[in-house]
Amino acid sequence: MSLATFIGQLFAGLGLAFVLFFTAAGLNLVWGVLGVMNFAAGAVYMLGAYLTTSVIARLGASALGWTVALIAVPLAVAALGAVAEVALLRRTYREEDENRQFMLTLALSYLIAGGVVLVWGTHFRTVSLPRALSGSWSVLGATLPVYTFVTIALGLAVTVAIWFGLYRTRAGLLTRAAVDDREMLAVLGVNVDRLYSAVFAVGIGLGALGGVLVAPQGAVSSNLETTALVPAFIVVVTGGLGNMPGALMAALAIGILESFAALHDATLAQLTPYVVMSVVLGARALAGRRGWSAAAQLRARRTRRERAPAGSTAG
Amino acid sequence: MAGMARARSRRALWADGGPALALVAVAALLPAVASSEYVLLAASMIVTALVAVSFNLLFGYTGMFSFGQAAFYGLGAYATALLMNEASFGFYLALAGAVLVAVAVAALSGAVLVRMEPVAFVMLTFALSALLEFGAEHTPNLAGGDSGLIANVPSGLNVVVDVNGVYYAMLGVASAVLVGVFVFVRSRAGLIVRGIREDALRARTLGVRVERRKLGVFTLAGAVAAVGGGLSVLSDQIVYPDVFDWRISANALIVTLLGGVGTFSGPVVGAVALGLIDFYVGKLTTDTLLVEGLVLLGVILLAPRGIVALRIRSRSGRHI
Repeated sequence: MSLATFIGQLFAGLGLAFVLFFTAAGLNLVWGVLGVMNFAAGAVYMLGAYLTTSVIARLGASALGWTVALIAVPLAVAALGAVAEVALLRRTYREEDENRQFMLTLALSYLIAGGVVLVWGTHFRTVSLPRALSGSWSVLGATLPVYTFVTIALGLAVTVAIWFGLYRTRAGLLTRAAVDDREMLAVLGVNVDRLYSAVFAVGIGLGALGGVLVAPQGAVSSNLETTALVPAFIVVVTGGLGNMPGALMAALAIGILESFAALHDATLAQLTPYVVMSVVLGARALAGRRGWSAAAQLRARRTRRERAPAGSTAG
Repeated sequence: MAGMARARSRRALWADGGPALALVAVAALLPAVASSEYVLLAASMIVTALVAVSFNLLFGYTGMFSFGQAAFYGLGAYATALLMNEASFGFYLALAGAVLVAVAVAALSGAVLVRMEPVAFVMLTFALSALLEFGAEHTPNLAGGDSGLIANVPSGLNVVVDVNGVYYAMLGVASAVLVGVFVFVRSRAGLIVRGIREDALRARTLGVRVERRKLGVFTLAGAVAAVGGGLSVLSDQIVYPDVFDWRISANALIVTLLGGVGTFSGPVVGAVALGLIDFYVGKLTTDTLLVEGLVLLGVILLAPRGIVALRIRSRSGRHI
């Protein structure tokens, strides 16, 4: 393999990885904090892509159109997420049955997918990039698309923003506290309800951002929902549920390996997520690690603690 | 006292199995009064009901939230079609072979999956069905790829020639499966499984081998879904990779919730109800996703115990 090919594939893999990471990070954030497995993540991704086609159709494939799409679409979808959280999910956190939350997000995914069919129909759509982003740069003999640079730059920026938001701001401190002990946080006077709405909105917005970025890379169709959801689930499970650095590493591993596998065989490339997941889960099982992540272990411990007295009175 | 207890348990037995029995009876009479359009609708309900029964065995009875029953449904469909095409098996032999294939895959994958924590179980069962869909799409020589696999159904079971004959074959097989599932959920083993759902730790303390029981239910559920897939070959005569689509798994969930989760008749009632809703709404709009989303939302928020519970509550004034 020549150096140019190597750089080209590595670069494409990074672009792939960050698009994966957006949805996975959104899933992870919502799972880690709210304890909700957000099945609507794929639908939100698709909605982001469709909204982008409409914004670009209205404003043109110009720098203005794309700036608006990149900022307004995730914000609009995040607002929708906040509304859904308040209207549907908020009432369920205190219930024992956590499956109801999962089902509600599934209902949300159906409603979004149905709404997309209602508004945009079933035909696929395409959008084009502004001229400044549609070219490519030559680096060490490799031809690298400018748009992939943009994807990677945005991916890095969002990764840093997530880290900064979680570990260097008061809101992030409270969010992490909510993972540890929601009741205690509420007793201390923090508005946990609002915090949860905000986290859900951010998680949904991240998914929509992935959709915006993927819109010009192929046909925008109802397939996007599934093509986003399966790899995102795999990334989240491989990285460890609720484990953000783990998800980033899993996304990078899968994206880069998939890109190199594509050199040999397209089918092999599409199998990469499953192979990586099997290897990681297998290795973890062999190492005897039952826990999935610090957050998951904490959650499991807390659940056991909370359920123990209830069980003893019922019996 | 014992007599009263026995009478009460017999009443509970009828309450749980009655609605399904009544629907099977109606289904048996349907071809006499309805056109072939409705017979085909009922045939699709039979298939939906079996996948939902499979989901309900896992989620309703054992508390395992599978989001991948489409995996076994699709395996049943492909294996039945392939055994008829490649090995020239008759339909029933092919169906039996397909069930064995699904049982083998369920036992192997389940050995790992049942040990996962619940949310990982959801995601990984989903991933299993996605992986199989990928496999079906990328083996054009074996499974026909995206253009589908045309099944060489025996001439005696050709839906184009004899709708009612095919329908009764499907209804007969499905009824036998329902009887088997009813015996299981009402047996001691079914009771133990419900005990695991209520409190796995306590069940384990009482000496129940939780993982082994879960694996048993996972395998049984895989077999039931595979029968549904195998029967779908009769009415459709072609198998596409989207038999593994996650919407089939989601549909099983919606149907089960709508009918009544954790009750024997719930999935059957739900399959009929959603089948009717989709059928009549489908005449007005093609956007069935929106309708199914609204149905799901409505059931979760307004009637989480489903249609069956509405009926039971209105008769006795309390939940069972």
